[in-house]
Amino acid sequence: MSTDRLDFDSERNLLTLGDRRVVFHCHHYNLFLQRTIEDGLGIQSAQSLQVAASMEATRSVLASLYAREPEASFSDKLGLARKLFGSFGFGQAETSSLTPNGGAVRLITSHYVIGWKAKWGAAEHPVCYFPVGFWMAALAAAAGLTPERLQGRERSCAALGASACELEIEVL
Amino acid sequence: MAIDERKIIEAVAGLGITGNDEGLIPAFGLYLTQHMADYYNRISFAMARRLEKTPELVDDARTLLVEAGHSCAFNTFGGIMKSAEWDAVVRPMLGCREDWVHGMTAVVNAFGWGRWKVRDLVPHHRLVVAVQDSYEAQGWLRDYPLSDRPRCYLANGGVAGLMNLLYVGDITTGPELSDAYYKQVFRSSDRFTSTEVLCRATGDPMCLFIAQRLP
Repeated sequence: MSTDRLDFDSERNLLTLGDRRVVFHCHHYNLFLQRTIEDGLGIQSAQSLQVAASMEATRSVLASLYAREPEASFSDKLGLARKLFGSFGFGQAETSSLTPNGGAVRLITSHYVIGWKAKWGAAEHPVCYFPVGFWMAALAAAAGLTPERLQGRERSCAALGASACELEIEVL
Repeated sequence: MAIDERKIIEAVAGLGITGNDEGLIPAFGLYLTQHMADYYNRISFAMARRLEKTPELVDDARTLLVEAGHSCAFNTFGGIMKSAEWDAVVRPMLGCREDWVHGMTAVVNAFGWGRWKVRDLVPHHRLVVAVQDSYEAQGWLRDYPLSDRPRCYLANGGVAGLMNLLYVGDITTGPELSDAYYKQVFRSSDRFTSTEVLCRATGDPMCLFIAQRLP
């Protein structure tokens, strides 16, 4: 099961993973867009939207990857998610505390933290909306849970000075 | 024209851009991601649709999202055009300033954004770019009814930004891509703005962008 091989359609210039489009963007755009959504909708609403969008997008990608190996264990599936997270450039995640009943994910590196700090310095609130949604989706898909049973938040964020980002995922 | 688009695309694809041991992709002086188009589309379109419920905010939604495209062009295109990778692969093909436009669109065509093609380029005055399979328009069509307005915010900002980098600023001299330089270029009274005159999201056969100087 590989996550680091994207398909490139050289006639139409499309990158895909499974049946989903993948596009290159850099930290400037990713963080500027994140802040734009905050400006447009307010922080609370922007945070909810981006976590939900991340869950939706991630779930569809992981579902197609997991479907290729139906015998994979929960641990195998989380390993695949970690590999996807890292190969896509989102950061390095440690998931040993994550179980089918919830738990925590530690981000040793986070693209969103590095990008935010590079552009604007220390943040005033946690910035890893996309990673929160990603790991909620990864847990839901790996444990066979409906997404509605999950709640997630970033307990501490390196953009505010923490040594690493701690994501907390609760199964209701 | 000396630009060999296929060679550029193959060279960028051949860089093997993927996360390192830290899960990061430092390239072109930037931190890149291979990201899910669905994510960008959902957050952009959801914000636009919510703001558009208030008629007075319709233009604000577009302005905000296109400004994100300007930021992308300035930093991403600008960073790429100052990079060692650009110097190695693209710069040997550059014969004139206009070649920088063609070289950058060739690089864009390795980014999965769809097929960008320069239809017309009048130096210092106008750029027309056609895009097939825009991920923004394609994403809109999949999830929403036909739109009554164009939806390719990122591409729209990108086309204007490319002209601003070359004909308002001067990326060929390798300027520092600072906030001050951004304001100097993208707030200039003779800056370029782009209009998406055709969009797949509205039912057109392709997306078409025209960048011109402010009237």
